[in-house]
Formats: sequence, structure tokens, C-alpha cells
Amino acid sequence: MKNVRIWFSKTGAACYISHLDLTRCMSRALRRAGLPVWYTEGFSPRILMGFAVPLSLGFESPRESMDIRLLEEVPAEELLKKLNDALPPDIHAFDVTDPVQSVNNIAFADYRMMFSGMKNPAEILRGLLAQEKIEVMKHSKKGPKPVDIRPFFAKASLEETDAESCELRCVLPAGNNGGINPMLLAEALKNAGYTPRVHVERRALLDANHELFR
Amino acid sequence: MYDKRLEPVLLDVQKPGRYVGGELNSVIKNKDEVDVRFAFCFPDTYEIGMSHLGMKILYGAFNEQPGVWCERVFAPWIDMEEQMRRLDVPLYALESGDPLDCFDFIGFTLQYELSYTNILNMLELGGIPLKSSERTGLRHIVIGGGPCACNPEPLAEFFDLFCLGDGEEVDLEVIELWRQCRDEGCSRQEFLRRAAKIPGVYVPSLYTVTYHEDGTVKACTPQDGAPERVHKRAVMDLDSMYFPKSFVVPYIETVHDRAVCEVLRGCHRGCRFCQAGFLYRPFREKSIETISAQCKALIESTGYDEISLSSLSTSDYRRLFELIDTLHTWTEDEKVSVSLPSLRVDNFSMELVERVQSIRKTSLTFAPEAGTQRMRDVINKNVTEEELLRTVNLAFSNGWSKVKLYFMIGLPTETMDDVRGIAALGQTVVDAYYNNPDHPRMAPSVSISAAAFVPKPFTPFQWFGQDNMETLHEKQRTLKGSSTNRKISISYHGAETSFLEAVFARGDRRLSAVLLEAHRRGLKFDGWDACFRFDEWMRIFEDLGISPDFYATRHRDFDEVFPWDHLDYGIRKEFLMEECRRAYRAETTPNCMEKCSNCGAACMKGGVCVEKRSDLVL
Repeated sequence: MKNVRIWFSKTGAACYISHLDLTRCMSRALRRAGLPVWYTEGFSPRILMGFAVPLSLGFESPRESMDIRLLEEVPAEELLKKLNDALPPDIHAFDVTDPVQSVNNIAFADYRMMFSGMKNPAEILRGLLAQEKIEVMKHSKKGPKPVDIRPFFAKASLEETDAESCELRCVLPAGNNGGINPMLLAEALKNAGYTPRVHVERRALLDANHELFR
Repeated sequence: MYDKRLEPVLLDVQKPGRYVGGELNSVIKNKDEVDVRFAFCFPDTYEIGMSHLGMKILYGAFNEQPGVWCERVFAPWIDMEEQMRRLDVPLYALESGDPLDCFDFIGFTLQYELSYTNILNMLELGGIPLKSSERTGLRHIVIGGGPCACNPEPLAEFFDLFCLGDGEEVDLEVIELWRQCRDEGCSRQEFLRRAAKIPGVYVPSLYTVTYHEDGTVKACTPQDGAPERVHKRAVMDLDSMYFPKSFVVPYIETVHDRAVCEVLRGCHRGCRFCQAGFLYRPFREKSIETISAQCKALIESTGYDEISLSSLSTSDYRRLFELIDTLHTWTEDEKVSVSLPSLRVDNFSMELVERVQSIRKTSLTFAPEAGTQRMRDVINKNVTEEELLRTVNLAFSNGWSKVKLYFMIGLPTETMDDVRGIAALGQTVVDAYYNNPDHPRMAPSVSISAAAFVPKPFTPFQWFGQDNMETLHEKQRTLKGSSTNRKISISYHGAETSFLEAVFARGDRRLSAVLLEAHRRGLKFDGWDACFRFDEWMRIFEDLGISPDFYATRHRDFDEVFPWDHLDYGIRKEFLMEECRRAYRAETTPNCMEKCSNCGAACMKGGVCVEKRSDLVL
């Protein structure tokens, strides 16, 4: 038996698939692909699958991971071909590796946020980020609580694409020890009376040293 | 695919996965190689529509034809409709993202009466003129099929044609004729006139309906060479009938999210309240080999881990154990579970349960339909209390403690004693539990669910006036009040929706105006509690001067001409009358397996009719 980590992208219309739906989708794809996957034992056996940090609904990502256990080794090329043939078009597996790090090592995520649908979004964002404090309500299991997101966006870089759109790159905490959803910034804009259209891409997951999660 | 203008709002609506398409096995064709575009519309949400087997069958059958591209369209939920109207985005098909306006055929499946307002709403959202008379040229042929096509008269003004019975063959014939007509440069009228000559095709605009002074139908007269009677189509050999090798696999969870294989068509039981039992006669079975091969193909193409054996009454498949054993020869290795959608009280056995893993120990559901033997005899539900008790005892001895029982109230000849009999039967089941020494170590739970009976065309109860709402409410109260046992929970469905369903089920063409007005006033999704506005419906009837009671609660005489009398489902009206008389005498009729009762379905020369009637001349 061999544990492998499959790397895939989730783009386009696939961003509207929730994490729960993604797991069902992957399980069916693995079955269709006819790969020798290991099933959990018990009354209703399921394919053992492990995902890193769930991707929020609406986010695209060029690099997601899924851990599975194979009963026998399958050459990477064959595995990717079979799996891609069984996957819907907007989910594409592009690499298979050994699982180098535990998902518990994930500490940050690198995001690219595209703001549009409002006038001078760059200027407004700059103004917002220049504030001492940006307080928004964060919804957690214990209910909503106010949180200052300003420190998380301190190192964010802003790039104006044109008068009606801009791009923000930021690295935010992510992973099992708690994360910050980049959409909280959109929330802050909404609180300030703006209604931007925000499209988010999660570029990569990073470990505590800001190295790429492998 | 979807209109990019929707992108900004997709995250503001519930379940955006409903609206984006791109699912596995959805069919994308090159438009240059397509000369017929068919929009298959399901007038309800994505999750309901994607669970419907008929749509999967026809989607596959159409797309297998070269040059034909069939796409799926569902009713957007109210939040999405609001956004689409705000952004001026027309209703589109999920494969190409093209608006309805781009399609040659706009097909609707007519599964339940309460979806009619959604049909009008979808046409309007797609920019299609609502009335057949307002559409010109050869495009935008609005076509309907499914169970409600047996009395499509309330929809007559909006549809160009209806296909009666099994759609697998007749739909393709209509498409082929349309191609010919287009190539010959025929007018829309000429196409419709020629379509009416295809067996199974009903073109409502070619029939004139006249009425008596009392409002009942006087005659329905064909014109332009349309047939006097339109006979339903039925495919007799299910083994050679088209069945899809793959299903579109939704991303989001749908109501029935699994592979489904139809194992038989029709039902031989003859329950008098059940429209499907008459519409889909005769009883026809697929062979074990075909079913197993079709299941296997579906599992391979979809990746599902569950397969459901579907039909009106799957436990009536005569070689059921053999079928399940055959499936198990490969499903166990592939970790696929096999499930049955419904069980009958009279053929439930441990042998069956052991073979079907999906029957979990949580709860078992049965439908005795009525509480007293007399009432069950009236409706010809040939199930006895002894059989029910035998079955629940079997279940209780084998670890079950929860039972769900489905009933109807408002059945013909029903008295308050019959209503109280429902709760009494629930009590009998609870008593049986405690008297069974092997029952599990937990408290039993019996859930009773009672729906209000809706009389339907082509059943022996088509003459019956539905109980009025006061009576139904009184029966609901009586039922609720006739048990104080906390082990028994009693619930019932709204009498209001059943009343409206009864109006449209046996309605005539004058109800088109009601539907149009309902649509104008924004009524939609009437089958959903969140949207159903009964008071508004009643106001519409009042404003238009149309009595809903004329359709729902009025008793008809045997000599009345019905709005659907020119449609022929192979069932003789005299047979239905005889069944009606027997019902009122509480006399049962044997099922088709025991004895042929000469209902008329033998005219289709297939299925159980051929097996059971040696005198049948083929």
C-alpha cells in the first residue's frame, strides 16, 4: 500500500462546487478511473481521501491536494491520465507526489483577490488599509465576534489594473489552527458602503516558514 | 455554461452549482454539426429535475441522434430568478448557456399539475411567447409529455403538441418530421397538421371543444384530418428499448443521487386511486441480463456507488431474487450497493432484506393507503391487516423498531370510522411490537402520514367529486384526535394543494386563462410551501368567474363527456365504469397476474396481456 498526494486545479465553473460536493465528485472520479484505491473498512466502505484546507465556495485554485492510499503502485503518468479522463473539465489533476508534509504543517495561504464592479477600487482599498483598525464580524462556531483584520493585510500588495478593477495579493493564516478568510476584506468594504465584485484565487498553501506546502 | 453577466451574483444565490452546468457526462456538441436543437425543460428546481429518470432517458436518446443536440433547462429558484430579471439574462440551457430563444424544440415534462405555473414562467424567462397562437415560423415548438399529458387541456393554449405514453420512439419521429418540414419549407401549421398523423401525437389546436350550458364538455371535434382519438404510444419490448449508458452526474447533491435502472414498466395491481397504474399498462418486464448490463454500464460511466432498481412497484418483478443475485455477482466486488425504492406489505420477506443492503435498520415504510379493510377493498389495495401484521412482526423480530405508514384520506365512500381506522391500525402495529417477544430493546415508533386523495383521469375514480376542504380538514382533525399514544405520530399534507391539484387534473381548456392570470400575478413553485399562495389562487378563480369546485368537488355522471375523452390510453371507459361500480360495492378485482379483467390494454399486444390471455390474436 502506498499513500500518494494528487495535485489538482479547481477553476472556472468548478469554483461553485462546495468542499462537500468536491469530495463526492472525487470519490466518483476515482471509481470511474478504476484506480486501485483503498477503501475504509466497515459497514459502508468509502474511499479514503484526505484534503488539505477546504477551499471556500467561489474561490478558484491552481494547486489543491488530495491524499489517497493505493493498493499497488501506479505510474504517475497513467494515474493522471485515468483520473483526468474521469474528472469534469474544470478539475484537472497535474501531478502526483509522495505526501512530504503533514497537512498540519499548513500555516498560511497565498491569495490573489480581484476587485471590480466599483469606481477606483484601488484608491478605496488603499484608504481602507491605511486605517489603524479594520473591524469586521467573524463568524465562528461560537457565533459572530468582532475581529481586527488590519494586521493580516499589513503586507498586502495592491496593483491597479484599470480605473475599475484592481488586484490584491496577500498571505493570510490558514490551516487547522485557524485561518482568516480573505472575503472579510470584502465584508469591510461592504460595511463602508461599497458593493464590489470580488473574485478570489488561492494561489498556494504555505507552511510556517512561508514555504510551499508539499 | 452560463451567461457571464451572472458571475457577480452566483455567490449571492443559494446553491450556485444548480446554474453553472459543466457536469460530467453532460453532452457538448459542435454547433456546426447540429441542425436540431432541443431544450428539455423540467419545470422545477435542478435537484428535483436531475433526479428524474425520464429526463435522463430522453436526453440520452435525443443526443444519440446525429445532428440533434438536447440540453437541460431547469426552473431557477426565486432568488436566482430575481437576479436574472434584474440583469436581464434570459433563461438558458446548461450545456451551451444559450437562451431558450435559440432552440427549435422546447420540451416540458409534465410530472405534476402544481408545476404548470413554472412552465409559463420558464417560457417567459426564456423570451418565448406563451401562447401557441403567438408563435410563428418553425422554431420554438413547445412540446410536452409525461403523466399529465393524459389530460393536458388546461395547458392546451400554451403547447403546440403533446406526446402521449412512452416517449422513446414518438419523440424521435416528431423530430424527424420537423427536419423534413424545415427542408421542404413547410409552415408551422403544416408541420402541426402532419405531426398530428403520427400515432401518439396530440395537437390541441386541431381540436375544437364545445360546451353544454351547464359547463360540461359537449364535444371535442378534430379538424384538418387530425384523428378522432389519439392513442398513446407504448414500447412493448423493454430489452431492445433505448436506455442510457451514462447519466449526467451532478456536482451538487440531488434528491436521488445514484444510478437508476428501470426494471419494469406498468403495474399489474389495479389500485383504483392510482393513475400511473392505468396510464402505463400493460405490465412489462426487462430481462435480468439487460438490467444487469445496463446497471454495469451506468456504474462504469458515472462512478456512483449505489444503484436503484426503479419502477412503479419493483418488488413485483417476478424474478427479483434472481435479479439481485445476478447483480451481486459483480456489485459486491465493485462496492456498489443495490436499493429498491419501495416495498409492498404483501411480499416483504427476510430473504429480500438480506439481499438488499440498503434497507437499513432505521425505518421501514409501507403504504396500506387506507385504515379499514372495507376502505382498502374500495380502492382495490389488496393488502390485509394480517399481511401488514405478519410483515411488521417480521421486521420487529429482525431489529426494526420504526415503521412509517402512508395513507390517504378523502377516498370515495370514506366515513369517519374509516379515518379513525387509520389511527387504530397504527395502534395495532404498536401492540404487535409489544406482543412480539423478540422486539428490539427500544421504544417503537409508528409514523402515520396521510395525504388528501386527488381523483385523476383514467382511473375508476375519475367521476368522483373530491371531498371539499371543510370535510378534509374535519377528517384531518379526526385523524389527529383519534390517537393519544405518543409512540404514534400523525402528520398530513395540505388539503389546499390537493384541491388545486384536483382542479387542474380534471380541468379543461377554460383553465388556461386561470394559469395565465396566476402567472401574471407571480404565482410559481406551487408545490413548495414557501411559494404556495392559496388565497391568491382563490382570488383568481373569483376574479375570472371560474368555479374551482366545478372541477374538483363536483360528482360526474357516467354519461358525461370528459375533456380527455379523445385521448386513448388503451383503457376502456366501460372498464373504468365497471371498476367504479365495484368500488362502491367494496368489491375487489383480481390483479393482472391472477386474471385478466379485460381493461383494454391488451390492444397493445404486449407484456402481461399476451402472457395471460391465450385468446389474444396477435
